[in-house]
Amino acid sequence: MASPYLAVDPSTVLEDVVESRLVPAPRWIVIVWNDPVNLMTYVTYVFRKLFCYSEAHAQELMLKVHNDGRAVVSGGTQERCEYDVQRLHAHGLWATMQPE
Amino acid sequence: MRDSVVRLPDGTIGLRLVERERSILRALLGDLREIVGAEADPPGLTELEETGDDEDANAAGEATAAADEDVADAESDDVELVDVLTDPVLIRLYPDARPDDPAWSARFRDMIRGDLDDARRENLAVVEDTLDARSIDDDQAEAWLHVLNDLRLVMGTRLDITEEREAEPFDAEDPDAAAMIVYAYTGWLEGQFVDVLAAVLPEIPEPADDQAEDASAGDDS
Repeated sequence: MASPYLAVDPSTVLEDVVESRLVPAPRWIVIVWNDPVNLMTYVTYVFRKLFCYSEAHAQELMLKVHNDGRAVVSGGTQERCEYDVQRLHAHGLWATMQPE
Repeated sequence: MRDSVVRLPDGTIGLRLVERERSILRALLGDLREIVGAEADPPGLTELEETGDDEDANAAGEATAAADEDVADAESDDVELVDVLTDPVLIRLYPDARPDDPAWSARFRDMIRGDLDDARRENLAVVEDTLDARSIDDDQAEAWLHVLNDLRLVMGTRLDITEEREAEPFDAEDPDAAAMIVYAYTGWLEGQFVDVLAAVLPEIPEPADDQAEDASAGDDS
C-alpha cells in the first residue's frame, strides 16, 4: 500500500504540525446558571451523565451553581462547547458559553 | 409517603401511581405537547439582523412572542395553569446560548431547536405510551424524567417560581395554590426518578488532585 506521505514534502508536514501546536484554538467555557426550578439532585445527575464526572465532583459543581449563581462546567473548542450547551439545553439546564 | 418510583427485583422500574396521579400527568402532557408539537418551524429568529446596532437582549424575546400567537390557546382543563403561553416559557426551554450575542444565539437556536423538539416529542410519546404501565425500563424512565423536568420548567416559569416564593408558607387563598400543589407534586415525583436512575450511573473515580479542577478551572474569574 502506498504511503500517503510520499507525495508530500516532509518539511511541509513538519511545519504544519509545528504551526498547529503554536497556535492553539481559542478556548471556550460552558457556564450553567442557577434557576429555581431544576432540582439539585437532577442537576447533579445531569452533570454525572453528560460529563462522566464523579458524583462528588458533580455535586460540587451543582452546589457552586446553587450558591454562587453559576459555575463553569466544561470547556474546550467552540464546537465542543456548542455540543455541550445543546446537550444541557436538551436536559433543561440554563447553559451559556463564552470565550474564556 | 411511600416511594412511587422504585427499582423492582426483576430490574425494571415500578410506577406505583394511582389513577388520579396518572390523570393529572395526562392533562399536563397535553399542555407540553402544545408547546413542542405545535411549531414545526423555529420562531422567526432568523429575521434578526446580525449587524444591527439596535439589537438588544429583548430581540429574541420579541421574535418568540410573535411565534407564541400560534399556540396561545394551549391550556389544560383539569389543572389550573396559566392559560396563555408567554415568552418566558419558550425562552426558558430554548435559552440564549450566548446572551452577549443575540444574533448568534438566534442562529444557534434555529440550528438546534429542531433536534431539541424532536427529542422532546420522542420523550412525550414514550410517556404517553407508558402512562398506564405498572413498570418501565430505564430508557423509558429517562424519558419520564425529561418530560417531568420540562413540565416543571413550563409550570415554574408561568408561576414565576423563585427560591423566595418557594420558601414562603403555603397560602391556600393564593389563586395559584392548585397549580403550586401540582408543581410541588411533579417535583416530588421527578426526584424519585432522579434517585432511581442516578443509582445505576457508573461510579467514576475521583481524578488525581492536581487535575481534579480542570473542568471548573475558569471559576468566575
